[in-house]
Amino acid sequence: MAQILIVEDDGAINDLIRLNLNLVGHTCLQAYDSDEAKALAEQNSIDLILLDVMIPKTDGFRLLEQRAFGDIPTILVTAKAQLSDRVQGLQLGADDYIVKPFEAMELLARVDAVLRRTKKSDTTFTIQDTVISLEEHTVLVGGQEVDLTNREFELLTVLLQNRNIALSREQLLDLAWGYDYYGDTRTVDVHIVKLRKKLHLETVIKTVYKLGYRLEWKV
Amino acid sequence: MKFWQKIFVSMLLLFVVAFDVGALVLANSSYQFNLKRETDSALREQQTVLSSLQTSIENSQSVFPNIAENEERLQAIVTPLAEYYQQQEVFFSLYLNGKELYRNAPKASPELLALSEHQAVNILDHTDQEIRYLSIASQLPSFSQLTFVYTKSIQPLADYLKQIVSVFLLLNVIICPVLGMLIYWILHRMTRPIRQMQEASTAIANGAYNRRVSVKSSDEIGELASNFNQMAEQVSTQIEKLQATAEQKQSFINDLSHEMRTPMTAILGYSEYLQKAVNNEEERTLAAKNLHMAAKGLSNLSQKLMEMTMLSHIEIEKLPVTGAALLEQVAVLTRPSLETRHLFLILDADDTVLLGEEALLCSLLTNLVENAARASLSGGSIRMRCVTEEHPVLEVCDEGCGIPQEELARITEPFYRVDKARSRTHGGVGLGLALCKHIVTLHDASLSIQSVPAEGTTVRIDFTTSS
Repeated sequence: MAQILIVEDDGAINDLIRLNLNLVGHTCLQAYDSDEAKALAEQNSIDLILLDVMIPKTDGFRLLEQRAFGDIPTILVTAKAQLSDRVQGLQLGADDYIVKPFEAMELLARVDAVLRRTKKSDTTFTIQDTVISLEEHTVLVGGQEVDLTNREFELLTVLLQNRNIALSREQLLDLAWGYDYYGDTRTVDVHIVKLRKKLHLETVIKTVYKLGYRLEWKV
Repeated sequence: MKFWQKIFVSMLLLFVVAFDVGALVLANSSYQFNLKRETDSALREQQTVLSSLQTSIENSQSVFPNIAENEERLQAIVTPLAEYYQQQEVFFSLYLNGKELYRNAPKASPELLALSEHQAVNILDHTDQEIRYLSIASQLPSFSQLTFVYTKSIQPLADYLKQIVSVFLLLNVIICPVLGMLIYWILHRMTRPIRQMQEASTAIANGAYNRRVSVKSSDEIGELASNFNQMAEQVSTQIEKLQATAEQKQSFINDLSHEMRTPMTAILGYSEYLQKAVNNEEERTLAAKNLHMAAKGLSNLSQKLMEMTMLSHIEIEKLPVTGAALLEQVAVLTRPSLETRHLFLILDADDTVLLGEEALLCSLLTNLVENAARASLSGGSIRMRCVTEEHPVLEVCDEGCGIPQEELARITEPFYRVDKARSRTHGGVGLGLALCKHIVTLHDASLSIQSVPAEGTTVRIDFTTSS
């Protein structure tokens, strides 16, 4: 799990980001202006920074320009949606860009992508007696390798990456099967049943009433 | 066809016609006059010659009784006379009952000799071998069988006519182009301002609203040009105003949408979190609290926006408002929020009476006091004054954190905040001072802010035009 510094002057948004990152097990530090952010980044070992552009004292673009955080990967989080702002942010060295308002899934996916690029993302998960390696594409249950179809593995990956968040059948279909797949949402149910059975995760992959499915697991 | 071309062609045509007609009439009358003079003198001379011929014949009659029939005698009488006159380009002919007795003149046509009665005189203008002659025929008074023809060359007169015509043609050929050029030049000069205006108006029509014409004459065209410039000035001012308004509106909308993003993000994010995420009681409470705050922020924002919209559409009715009563009212309204922050409000009012709308002035002061409260530290005091100096003045002073000098100019812009995080936690939406400015403008007053960081801020409203 990664240690992430959130730099956002609006307390509510700062908390929102923290709560969502906590869901997948990241630990968070919260800063409300540039000076606090610099101090926290110096005192702690930070894996990733989520940086709002409009913050008091020195703004996010200037911080990037000054390379205030050294080589720590940075994702800009801002209400500025114009292309020029995004381009400027990326040119200044930001690794990605999230525009407010954002959904939890998008935030997690982008955080995960940047962490994976910088090799700080977890690729092996041990849930009860099930060990899943995303990199090697293998699943061991009680030391025994279990055969999963590609689709089943895709679905498992999506559930893991968005753990503790409920995903609707439509979202699962989009994420695991792809937007061009015109299947029935019951396909999802069938695959979920198979996954639970094969991996002994009946208690972990839960059905959320009226919403969909959620992989509930905290370190 | 262009205007100056029309004038050019019509002037040239008019001139040529007038000139030609005038010259022709003049030439013709001069010719006629000369011809008449020639004819008169010829008639007189003919009479003289005729009478002298008559006398000679009568004298000879005593010797030759039948002289009127004696061809030889008659020839002998007329010949010396004719020879004498021939030197003066005057020729005679004499006919006896239509038979030619003597002739040194060109042959005359028969109608000349066809005299209607005894005393008649026939005048004929004829040309022979390119020479023009005037012939006068009449019978001798005493010898009606004898017809005498007097012929005089009037070639000089014909030459004179020819010369006049050729001079006239020459004048036409020379004067018309010269005149044409002169008229062209004058017209071109005189219509230059019109062309300038035409160019300028085209340019303005194509969007160059700053184009003007420089015409410095005092005639109608000069007046037209100055009116045109005034019109262009008006148009460009209006356009600039419109553009400024449009830009202002656009930037307001940009700011507003940006301003709405943060609470929207919070509302969407927390509602999603509450609905989908695994969370404990503590997390749920935090999410609900933040959700509520964000929704309240949006509601505040919409309320202030409504106020702004209302203000920009109303005409205020200015009525006398007692300063002391106004401050008292504001104090009552702001007391709850000031008490929770442990702030003191000091009122300082003399018997000043302001002209304005009480509700708006109250809202203005409430806004300013709330701003002051946000800037103040717990236990501080805020001073509200309403006094008359040179004119009525309202003032709100605090001993708070102050505003940096470089931010003062922008502070009344919508959504501009010096410290946005702090402002939002206190429920501000960034429209307070913009609203105040609006109210102040409606009262024809002026708003000025003085501030020293860490010492305090004074907002002053001068009612310069109302008494």
